[in-house]
Amino acid sequence: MELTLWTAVVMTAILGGYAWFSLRLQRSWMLEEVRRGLLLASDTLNNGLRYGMQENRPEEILASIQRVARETHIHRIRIIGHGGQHILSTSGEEKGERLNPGSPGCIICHSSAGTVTPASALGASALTVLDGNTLRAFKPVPSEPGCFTGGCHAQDVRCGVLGLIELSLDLDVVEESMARRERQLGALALAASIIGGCALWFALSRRFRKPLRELLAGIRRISAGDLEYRIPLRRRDELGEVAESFNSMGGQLAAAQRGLIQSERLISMGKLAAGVAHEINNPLTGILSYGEALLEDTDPTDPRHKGCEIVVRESLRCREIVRKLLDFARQKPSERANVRPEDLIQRSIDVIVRTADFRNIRVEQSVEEDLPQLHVDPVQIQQVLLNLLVNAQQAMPQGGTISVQAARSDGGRRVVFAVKDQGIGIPEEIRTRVFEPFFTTKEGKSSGLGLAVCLGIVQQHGGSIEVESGVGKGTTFRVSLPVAEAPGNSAD
Amino acid sequence: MRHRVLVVDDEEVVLGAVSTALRHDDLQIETSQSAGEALELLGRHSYDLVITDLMMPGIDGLELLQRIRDARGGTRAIMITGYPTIRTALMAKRLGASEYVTKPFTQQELRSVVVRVLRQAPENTDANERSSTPRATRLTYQIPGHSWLAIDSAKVVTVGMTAQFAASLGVIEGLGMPRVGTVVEQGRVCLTIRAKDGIEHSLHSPASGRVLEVNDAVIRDPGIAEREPEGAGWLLRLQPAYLDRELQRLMPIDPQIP
Repeated sequence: MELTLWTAVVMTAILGGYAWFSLRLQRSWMLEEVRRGLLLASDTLNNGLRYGMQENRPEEILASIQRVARETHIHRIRIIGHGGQHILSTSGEEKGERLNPGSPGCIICHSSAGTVTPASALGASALTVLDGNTLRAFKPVPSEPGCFTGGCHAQDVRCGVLGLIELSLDLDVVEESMARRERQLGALALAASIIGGCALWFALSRRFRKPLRELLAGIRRISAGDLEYRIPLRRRDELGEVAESFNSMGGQLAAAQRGLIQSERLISMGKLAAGVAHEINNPLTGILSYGEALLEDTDPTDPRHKGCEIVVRESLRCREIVRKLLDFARQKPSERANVRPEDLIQRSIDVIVRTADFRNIRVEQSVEEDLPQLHVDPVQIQQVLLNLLVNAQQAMPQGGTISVQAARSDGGRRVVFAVKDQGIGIPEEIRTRVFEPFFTTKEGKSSGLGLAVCLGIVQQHGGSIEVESGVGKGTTFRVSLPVAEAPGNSAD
Repeated sequence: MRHRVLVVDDEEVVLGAVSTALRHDDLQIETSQSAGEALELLGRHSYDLVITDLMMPGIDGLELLQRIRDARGGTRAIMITGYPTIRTALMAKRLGASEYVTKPFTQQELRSVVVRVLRQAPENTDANERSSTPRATRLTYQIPGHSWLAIDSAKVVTVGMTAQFAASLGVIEGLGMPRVGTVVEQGRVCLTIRAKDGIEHSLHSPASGRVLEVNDAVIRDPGIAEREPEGAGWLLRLQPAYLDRELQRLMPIDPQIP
């Protein structure tokens, strides 16, 4: 918004400045034109009046100059004698007055220093003077042979100049015309500013303001914590790039936050669980021990015997849960080595493929050739793969095919393992919860720690784990791990 | 002769649990709720066995063991621990504990350890370790008086029970072996041994790793394990996971020079 405003202001200033300078220039051009016109008129008048003057017909001359004055907007034409005395004037009232010796008309020949320019050197000299709001032109009238034959200028023969024709033009007419032009140009500039400003506002708004607002809205939403928000801006220009980078940043932030929340939850739940597990040990010791004693002491036919059996069995189950919890909470330092991804897969498959649960399961392997080595704890990563394989098997109680894949990703910087089953799939509402500690759909058969442990291990290796699933379509778990920094020896 | 046993734990329910678990054995059981009181009792009477918790307010289990060893050699001890880690177990063993039991325990688990420990000669523990640990025929690493491992290659170790452990079992009737492919952890139960007297004993693994092989010969004839526990009577072959680190927690035993 501010950008648009500033652009409009600058545009108006440029247009206004242009108009102002243009007017000034026009005024000076106009003044020059008027001056030239006035001089031309004085020349024309001088020539036109010659006959009347030689014939000494002042009424005719006066009528001529009055007609000229009327037709040309010259508000006063005077004929002045050599001595400065007014001979004829269109306004008439100054008759008998004299010009001062220093008056502009006199200094054409008579300089202030006293020198006199002879008439022969004057040529077509004339003078214009801006006197207040009046432009005055003085045209010396040179003497000619005909002038002396009459009685008028017999005494003026020694001097080549008989007098002056003075034309006075009131510049109000010019000013009025200029003012009209100013008004027109000003209106034009204003109109141009408004139209240009609107066009500019519209163009900028379409091109920048709207996308910028969307960017801003996106930034606000993300800073308010909505990291999943994506700016719906599809453009090929820089703004499109900004939006794309922004969306990608949002995605990375969201992923990082998810990872952080997951691992924080793992850690805090682990700590809590360890604390609880530790506190439960002593009471559980009592329950188990006295339960066993009661079981021993009751006759198997006694209905209480069954109850004691349950107490013992469930205490042992509690003990298993507590132990798994402690295992889970224990920070296991990993021992890393460079290993080949295909070896990790092969060893994991070898361990389980001959077990009873995998009787009806076919395991397919598809490993990209020449995969880079991974710098990982082989035992822990095998544990992850094993866990995923067992989960895949459990999703297909009637049997089926498990596909295990490994391929490069992220431009060869990571290797992604995929374990895919044809099982029942995971409903969307619980898909995000499968990595939570103690979350299980196999009530009583699973501690709900398997995938949480996997997540912990993978995160410790700087990797990530994802699940993709559709009900009835099967589930794919993808584990992405960074490759070893430099090629090294295999762990084998 | 009835063995005199002192049980030390700050929680009464655990004292009761221990007494209850051992009620059929011919033992004279006394209990104490603090290490201080236990030391007082130990000063006044002579006990064959002390069963003590590891974590107690004031003087804890390890310190109690230390004081027992300093004051009077030959009192055997069993450590009860909530955290079955090899580190605390080994620490306890160095301080004179013969064995350790993980809470919560079944009657069977506690009784098997008590029976085994009471069968061992009540000698000075330091000397006990030396004299009653028969020399191995090759370089082995042990949880003293319990289990051993021998390094076959970087990827395979053999695991068995020590002669001292085997001697305390009596006649072996059967073995509960882990399945090939399962993962065992150092200091945790890796297999069970059933004695003829009906008691089932647990063996703690000296190393973490995946089970590669179990000794079928021993399953067929458990007598081999009884007669040659450190030779033909080996029990498991493991693919070790963290061998370098784990060896540091074990006691190396030099091979016997003929």
